Amino acid sequence: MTRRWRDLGLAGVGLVVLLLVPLLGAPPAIRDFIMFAMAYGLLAMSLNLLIGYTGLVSFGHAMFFASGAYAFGLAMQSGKFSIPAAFALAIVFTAVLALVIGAICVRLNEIYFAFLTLAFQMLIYNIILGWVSFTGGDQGLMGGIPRPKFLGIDLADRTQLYVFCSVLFIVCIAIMRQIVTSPFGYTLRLIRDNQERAAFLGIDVARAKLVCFVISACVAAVGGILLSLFVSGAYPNFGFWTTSGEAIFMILLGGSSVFLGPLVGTVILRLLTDVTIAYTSHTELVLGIVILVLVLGLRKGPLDVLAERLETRRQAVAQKVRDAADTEARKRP
Amino acid sequence: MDLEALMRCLGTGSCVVTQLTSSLIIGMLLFLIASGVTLIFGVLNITNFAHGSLYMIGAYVALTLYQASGNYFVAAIGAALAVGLLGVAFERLLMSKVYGSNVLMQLLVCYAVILICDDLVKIIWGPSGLSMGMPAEFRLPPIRFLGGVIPPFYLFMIGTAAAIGLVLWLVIERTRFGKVVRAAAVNGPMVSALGIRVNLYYAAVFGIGSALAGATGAASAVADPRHGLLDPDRILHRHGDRRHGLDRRRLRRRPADRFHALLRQHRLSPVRRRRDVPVHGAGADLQAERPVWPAAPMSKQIRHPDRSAKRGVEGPVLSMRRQKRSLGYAGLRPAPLGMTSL
Amino acid sequence: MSRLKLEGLAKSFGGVAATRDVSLDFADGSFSAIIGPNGAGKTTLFNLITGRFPPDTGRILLGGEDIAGLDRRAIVRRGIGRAFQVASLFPSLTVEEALAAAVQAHQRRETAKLQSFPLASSRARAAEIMEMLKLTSVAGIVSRNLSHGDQKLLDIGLALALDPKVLLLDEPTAGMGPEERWQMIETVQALWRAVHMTLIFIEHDMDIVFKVAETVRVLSYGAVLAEGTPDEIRRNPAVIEAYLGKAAGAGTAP
Repeated sequence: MTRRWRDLGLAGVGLVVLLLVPLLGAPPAIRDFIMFAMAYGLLAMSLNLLIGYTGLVSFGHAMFFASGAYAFGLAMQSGKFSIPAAFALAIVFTAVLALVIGAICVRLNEIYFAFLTLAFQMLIYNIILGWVSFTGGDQGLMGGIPRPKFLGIDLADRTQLYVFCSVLFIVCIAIMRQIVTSPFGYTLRLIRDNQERAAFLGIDVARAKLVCFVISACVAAVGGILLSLFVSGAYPNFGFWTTSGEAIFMILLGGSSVFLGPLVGTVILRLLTDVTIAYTSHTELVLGIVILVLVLGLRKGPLDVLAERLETRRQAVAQKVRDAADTEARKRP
Repeated sequence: MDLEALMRCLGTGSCVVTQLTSSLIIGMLLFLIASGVTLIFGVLNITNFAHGSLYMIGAYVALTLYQASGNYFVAAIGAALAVGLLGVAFERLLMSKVYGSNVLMQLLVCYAVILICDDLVKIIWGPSGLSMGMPAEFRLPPIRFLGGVIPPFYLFMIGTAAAIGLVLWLVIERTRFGKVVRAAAVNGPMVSALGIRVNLYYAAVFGIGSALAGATGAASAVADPRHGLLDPDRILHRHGDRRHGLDRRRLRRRPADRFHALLRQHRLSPVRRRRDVPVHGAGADLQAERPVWPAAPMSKQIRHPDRSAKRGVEGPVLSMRRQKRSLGYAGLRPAPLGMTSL
Repeated sequence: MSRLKLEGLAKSFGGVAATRDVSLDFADGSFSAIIGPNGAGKTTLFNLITGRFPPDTGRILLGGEDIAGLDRRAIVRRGIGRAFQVASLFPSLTVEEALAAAVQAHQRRETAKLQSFPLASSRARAAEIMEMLKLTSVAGIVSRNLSHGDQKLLDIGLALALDPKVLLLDEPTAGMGPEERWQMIETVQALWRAVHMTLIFIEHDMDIVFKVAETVRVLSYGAVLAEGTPDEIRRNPAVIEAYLGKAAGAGTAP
């Protein structure tokens, strides 16, 4: 119970900090940076639910990012839905999509799962690209996304948009935290660590993986919706493989074993990109070199390394305590 | 898909022949790349996600060598060798460090290499697409067949690809080298324990796979009926294609691999694009002179030159990187951070 | 009363007959050993019973019900637990977490998303299991950092979490020193006395087998060679020939 209160408290503090940013008069650039970080952060965190907690490496997660953005954008452009309704529609659409794709993919193991998700992602990407009359093709959804008022909230106002996105973001993070610390979360860890044994415990492994896949897709869709609201549009490269690759890199940068690791990775990656752009147009070169250094040098994210050191120290302390207890016990006849 | 165009085409012998040969070409190219990747995956059990970059480099190197030497065969063989060596270096320096690791690490290393190659190619050869045109050796009159025309280069390509496939099969099945490679695919440490320097074989296999990619690049630089040009981002798409139908137990290149490639190519077929297939040979000179449109990252192979002219203005707000990419190709600098908001 | 009965089980892999016409009967609450040379098909037998693959022919009757060919989850739910030759653990979870997760799976609450882990009931049961196996002192240690003996105990604990009616232990003392082996088998015996279950274990250490087992079954080349009490088996000439080794000086040529 105490852990839950602590987590909720931290979420509340996080929300307050986020909301303070515009209030304290930070320049719009910082606000925009945070908005990007929130959208991509949700993508990375949801992908980590699959990779870090269940051991399902998906190369194609960006397809749900795109499906959320496009479904929301199209629903709004049709003019028949209010923002909450379009939001719900986009999430439901993504959930159904994830259910269908997941049902096919989760039964495969590692490398085949990875590449089948990549294949589906490229399929969706090409559908978006090819269906020009519906999705605008490579120009993206044209005409922007209308934002009618709802419940007294006007998302055309940048500040209100920021608040809305922050609240959605924190809610999603809290939901993921709840999943990860729930019994289901530990079932996922069992599957990640030893799928065979998990099956021997009577766990329906395929079903658990599918549920995780769908939840993860829905959170990614929320990220897509946030981004589409922010840039007032949806573009095909939301669903391109490089977006998935970036999400994986964000997870690596931040560390997959720590809950907020991917979020940290998102911020680091965006900072890295923005800083690099200021000096050179060869961001890809720099990014590539950084990835190589991290992967070949550290082999895990910096936060992972940190977490491991803390864990080793904790275990060492526990060991010392046990040894002391042992010697005490032996002294007594 | 334009069904009327398809029906009209199937009615005339010339159209059928043209479509078939272009399809065979694309299929052959995919087959060659796929063999390279399958070889590497089957023996080393790593997915060379960066194979497409090697293919791209092969095409660019072939182009440069051709422009330098004027001889296509020199260019093609040179490209294959160069990319083969590059592949060996890549394997020894980078991939060998992630052999045992999970697929995530392998993906990231390859992703990094793709990014680096992407930028390096743009730095060395420029961001806009280049065209090789039909090499002088093949500027022969096209072969007439059943009412249609087949550029001789296509026949040469198909024949060479088939020959390469056959040679590969022979090497894997009938030589001692192939035997060791097959053994190493099953149990590398054991082969090493027998006193064979397995690492050399791994490097060699990677080199052969890369050389295949390079050779395909050299062929594609000429023969790809869609572009005739080298679009770095197309590579990534190719990779998605190649992965289907990969079976790690299939170390040998069977006809089935070729069939899969043919199946996949229908997505790229000109019938979908609703315009005539440019025929090399007859119109090759014109083709070579046409400046090719700047490559843009978002759209893929379905591109029309007329459409690209319209894409002057991007959507209002983009992420920094996308903006940079699209503007960068036009030679402009990306907007600073503050300008990304409405 | 028979708890587990195998009738005419046979299984071949390719051309190799791993199990040939095995018929065995395990009484409820018995403590029996299965012994035999390597390749005798002991682990295959365990795999058949736990449903890893279906037998080619034969029946497996658990309390009267034929479970041959059922999928693994169904068999696990009917109360068959198994520990492995090489401890099959969850490396990144602590002992307590792993046991609690296993218990909650048994209680069919592994998909609960609104509660916090560990559930009170799971935690209580996990504590009980740790108590039984003397793992309480290492409760907070991550599984991959445990000593070999503790890992094997945890492996047994994970099987126990399922409240099995039949517990199969595949070489519980493998890889341990002489003293540790006795400790392990004593723990197993204490376990068996505390919880009412049918315990079947595969062993290679004959001293242990003859000391603790109630009945011994000998497998050789996939078929049952002999079965009986430890004394009967020890004197059985076929068993001596196939497995135990000829007694020194009796009938051996110089």
